[in-house]
Amino acid sequence: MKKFVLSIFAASALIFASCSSDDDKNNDKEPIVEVNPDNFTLTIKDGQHVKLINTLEYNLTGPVIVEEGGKLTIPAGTVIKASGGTSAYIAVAQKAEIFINGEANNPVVMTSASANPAPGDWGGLVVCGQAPTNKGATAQAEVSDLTYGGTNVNDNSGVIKYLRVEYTGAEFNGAKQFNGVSFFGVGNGTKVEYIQSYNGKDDGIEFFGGTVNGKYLVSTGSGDDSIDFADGWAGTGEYWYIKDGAKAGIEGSNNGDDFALTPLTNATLKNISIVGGGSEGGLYIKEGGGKWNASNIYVDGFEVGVHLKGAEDDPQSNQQVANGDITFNNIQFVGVDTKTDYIGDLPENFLQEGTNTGAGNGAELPDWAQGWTK
Amino acid sequence: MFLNVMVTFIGKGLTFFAVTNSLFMKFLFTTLLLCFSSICLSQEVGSIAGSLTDKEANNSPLPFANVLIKNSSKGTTSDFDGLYRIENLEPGTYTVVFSFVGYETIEVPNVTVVAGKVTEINTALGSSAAALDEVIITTVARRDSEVALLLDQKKAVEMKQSIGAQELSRKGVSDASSAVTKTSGIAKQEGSSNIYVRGLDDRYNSTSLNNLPIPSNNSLRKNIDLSIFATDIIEAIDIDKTYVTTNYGDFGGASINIDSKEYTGNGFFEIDLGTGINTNAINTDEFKQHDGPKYLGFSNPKMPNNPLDAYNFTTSWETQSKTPIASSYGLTGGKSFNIGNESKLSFFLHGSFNNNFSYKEGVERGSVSKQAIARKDLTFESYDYTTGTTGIANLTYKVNNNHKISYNGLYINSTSQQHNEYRGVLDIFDQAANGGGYIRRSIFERTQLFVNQLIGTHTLTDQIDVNWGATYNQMRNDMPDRMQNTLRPVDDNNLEVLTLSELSDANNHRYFHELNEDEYAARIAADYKFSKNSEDEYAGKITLGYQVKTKDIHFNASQYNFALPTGKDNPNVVVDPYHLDSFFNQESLDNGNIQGIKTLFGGSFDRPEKYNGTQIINAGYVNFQYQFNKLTLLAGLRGEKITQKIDWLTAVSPMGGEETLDETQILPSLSLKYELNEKNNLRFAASKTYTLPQFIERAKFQYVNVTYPTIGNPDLYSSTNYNVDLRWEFFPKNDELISVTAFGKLIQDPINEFVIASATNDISWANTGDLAKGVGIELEARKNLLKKELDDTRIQKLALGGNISYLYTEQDLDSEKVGKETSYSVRFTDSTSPLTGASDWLINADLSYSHDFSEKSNLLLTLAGNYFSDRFYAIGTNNQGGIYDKAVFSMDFIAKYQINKNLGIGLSAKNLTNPTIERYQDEQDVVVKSYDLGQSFSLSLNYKF
Repeated sequence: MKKFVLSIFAASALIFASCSSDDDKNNDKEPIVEVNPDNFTLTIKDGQHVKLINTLEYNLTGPVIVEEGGKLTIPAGTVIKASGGTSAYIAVAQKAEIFINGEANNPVVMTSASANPAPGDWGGLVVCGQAPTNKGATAQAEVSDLTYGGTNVNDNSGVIKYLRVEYTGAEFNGAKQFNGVSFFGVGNGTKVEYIQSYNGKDDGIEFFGGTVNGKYLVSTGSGDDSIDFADGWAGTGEYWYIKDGAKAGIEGSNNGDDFALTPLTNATLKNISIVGGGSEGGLYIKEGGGKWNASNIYVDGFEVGVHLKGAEDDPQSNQQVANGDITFNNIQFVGVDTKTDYIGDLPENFLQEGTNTGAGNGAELPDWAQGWTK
Repeated sequence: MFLNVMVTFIGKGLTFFAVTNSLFMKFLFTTLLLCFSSICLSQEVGSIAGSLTDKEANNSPLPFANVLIKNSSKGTTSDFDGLYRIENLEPGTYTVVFSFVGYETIEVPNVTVVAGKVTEINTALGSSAAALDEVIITTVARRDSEVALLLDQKKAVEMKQSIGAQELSRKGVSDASSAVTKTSGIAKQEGSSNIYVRGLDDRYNSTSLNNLPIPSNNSLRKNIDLSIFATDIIEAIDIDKTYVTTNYGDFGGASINIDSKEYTGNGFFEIDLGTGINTNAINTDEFKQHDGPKYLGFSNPKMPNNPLDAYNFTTSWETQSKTPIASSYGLTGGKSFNIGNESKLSFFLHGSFNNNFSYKEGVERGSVSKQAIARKDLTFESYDYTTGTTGIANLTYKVNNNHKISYNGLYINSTSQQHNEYRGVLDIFDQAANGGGYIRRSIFERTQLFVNQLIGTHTLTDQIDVNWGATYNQMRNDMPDRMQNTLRPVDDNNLEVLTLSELSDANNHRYFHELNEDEYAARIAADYKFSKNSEDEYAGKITLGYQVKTKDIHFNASQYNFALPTGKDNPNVVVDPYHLDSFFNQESLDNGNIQGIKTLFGGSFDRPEKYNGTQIINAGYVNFQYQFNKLTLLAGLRGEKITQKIDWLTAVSPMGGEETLDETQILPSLSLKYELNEKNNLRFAASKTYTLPQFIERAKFQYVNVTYPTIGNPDLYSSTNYNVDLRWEFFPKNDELISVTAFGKLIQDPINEFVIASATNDISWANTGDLAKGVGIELEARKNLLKKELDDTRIQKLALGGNISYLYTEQDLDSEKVGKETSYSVRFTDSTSPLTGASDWLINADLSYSHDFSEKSNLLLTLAGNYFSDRFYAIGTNNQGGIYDKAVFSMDFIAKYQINKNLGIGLSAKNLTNPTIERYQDEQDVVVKSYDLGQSFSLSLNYKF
């Protein structure tokens, strides 16, 4: 049913990708979407399904926006090279879907087109879903001006598998900066596995509310936090390998305007290695913190292992810890000067130390991350 | 002849020139032709008015005295208050005769009556005749006299409120912005140009110059910053708080009109000099100013060529020290020339330069959470040097008694050179979390306004008058070479050792913007008078009018961010915050300490962010006025067709976009005036008006203000306003007034600014509730506590004036409505709030003492006070409380001494109480801003030739 108009493609290096609806009926009436790999920027509208071709190299020169009802499929091995600073990004709106079908030895790569690539060369990947956030009934994303949030816990934005994003984090201003991959209110019907952010200028991967689970995530060389969750994210993070971030390894918060706002951030974290350094600690609990249920956490090479501010600056996070709502069972500190700067008697279940493997190999790159990361 | 006005004042390097453009010349010729060729059947009229006092009764008012125009049948008698007025006098020269049984008769020759003006003659009668030169004649009573304005107010059908040059001078007011705050129910927000009328902010007000529109100098505001209009060029400011259909219908609070000065007379020339200090500024160790801008405020630092390829900025990052002593220089002159028997050409010219130094220090906190934790917690210092250069040329050509044309050319150059330093916690959870952060931001902002107006009034027949006006305005607002640096401690445990913040490229940047606005507007109206009454006056009048205004705005901005290496690549170079030139240079670019220079588009794309807007409003109206004995009715209906368009291309919207708004509005208004008796009027006014969103508010265009990003909301729509006023006025004497006004407002779907639910707390606008309501009462009084005639010509007077307003406002805050009507969502902390800008109480009071030493020498002392109770500033969201400005009481003292007919000196001492200006977040009860302004003392010298 794939109806590429190959002759035209060959002649002009343009692709006319057909749009296939789910049941592949009415193919003849479906609109044709023009994709120019040399100048890859487009808006995928309701009813359109654009499928890229992995033998081509795409030069992302402006926004690629998948609007409500649109779909974008990126097959294994596709390389997208971005130039254009903040205007080069890929964004998936609510009720739109993205399918990144990388493979363990053949990931999808989104990187800088520059001969001397540097963090912040281009935007990043932004996915917006309809799952709850404590920012509001709905809210506006940090970048791309899309709406996110809602009540659909099981919302499905597609599949992202074996993706490496590099040199992301272009910024508009101090308040608005792309992360490597940003999940805004993404629901747990979405499959997120095997993603690496490499040398991003801002956070590597960030969850802004939502319920999506993140498995097999790698964040290397982030200019800010390596992996961040905030605004009522309720999900499970497992098999995370974090290395060489500038600030916190994992930063988790509840809500900056009202630290106690519900739904509370509710994070289940397991099998995670955080390899230093970073100026804000291995893990940084802030802005109310929310609930953390963490196990098998390996922290290596930080001044502070688990960082939080004093009760004067962050009363709610301190309260959450004191109440036993934030627990690490167990956690291993290696080369950490101060295990935690929490002031006061350590609640019994807060830090249960032990020996563990973290993401798989302690400080070393785990087996599952071999072959597709760098 | 006067088509190309070019006046050059040499000295102090001031150059002022008014240029007429070719389109206008065509327009002018056509109009002149029309005007010369029209047949003139009747004449436009003026009047004589004044007050008479009784020398034999301690100069109390003299009622029932006769006032006659010699050799005519015209005359009147003075009323209980000694007040008189003779209307409908053809322009010309008259002899006025004052007489009273048993008293000597005074003849005042050579009284000039000018069309449309009031000539004021005040004198005392007694058993012995006054010497003629003791009669106080304001040969041409301009609108600037307090008495003339009160008479205007008494006579007008609509509820007017005016403040003239005389009162402004007495109260030591230096600009139009402070001027309006002397009237009831109006307040100004300290540190911004925002004027609140009855608790309604900028968007509800409109501003005009000689009843023709003027552009705004700020893309986020509807109105121009009134403080750029120096009082030197103001004859009077009219504040219409009720709506009349002759004004544009985008109204809710007040229409503010500035009448610029004209002159008719034998000629004068005047020099003004002044100097002053501010206690805060003079007490600084060093008054810091950034590099680039110059003393006079006429040079813009240039954007370098190739700003991205190499370090090409030539201005220094380091500050220089200035001596904070303010000065002012002004030249004013005017003269009239008779041309033939009927025509007269008059001109008025003014050129001035003034500057000012101010310094503030205090605290600033931001993003205060529900738990009362300020995310940003800083102390700040702010050094501000402002200049104002004003040139105005008025040329009035009286063709004959029926036709008058005038040209106003105005040029204003207004600048602010501000250097700010902040120290402390930049982000309690992130940068400089334990303090030690340092931000410096240096801003030079320059606004130039060019106004060219042509105004004509014509009396075609006894019953038909026509008046018209046209204007071409150019506004240019530049912010060249804004500089910002952000520093943080290298180690949060050692706050003394600083490095540049790498967290965001924008933390260290240079920025340039240009906003250009071109505006064309014209108005024409014809009055037809009918139904003559027994006193030979027309009882009825119908007015038909047409108005149009179009404007084009173009904004573009370029920002150059210095990207620094992050993480392991960051060498954390230790810097001295006061010597940053040693870091920001080519060497740092070469050695990688600076990774690169980037624009807001993130990469090396050197193109500006921009937007363009156009707005066209066409309006037609018909008014009907009729006097039924004591009741006068004025009813009007206006239709407006509005088109607004905006397009943009910015970093956050790199594909660009556009929005159009088309609206038609039908607006009725009604004014009733009932003369209870000669001293008392009752008035009523009701109207329907609307409030249009500003274009930037509807554009899905993210605009990064200095401190916060705003984004427009295309789902925003006009609100509808219903206004009702009821006023009682009592004029005990000619210079006294007591009035009480009650008003009510209903605003359907009011527009508000607030923080939308977003990952980064963006600011946007929406119709935030179904209804806002405001009710209030305003009391205004001017009363002489003591008035004594020392002898025939000398008066001693102690007068108390003031106004008190009480205001109650409430609006619904409906998060659901916002969610339903727009694509944004919000969580308002409260379900109702006051209107932003509303204080419960506003009080102005002034006590003034005047003493005449001789006919040509007098002393005037004024003590003026202002108070407002806590004022609502911003709506709270996300469980954070609303923000309020704390109550402030301030006081000024002004002394003016006219030594002889040539020389006068003035002394002003302002802000004597020096209150703390404080803004706080309610519920959390956290002070978010606090500082004081210091006291200002100034001395001025005025010499008339």
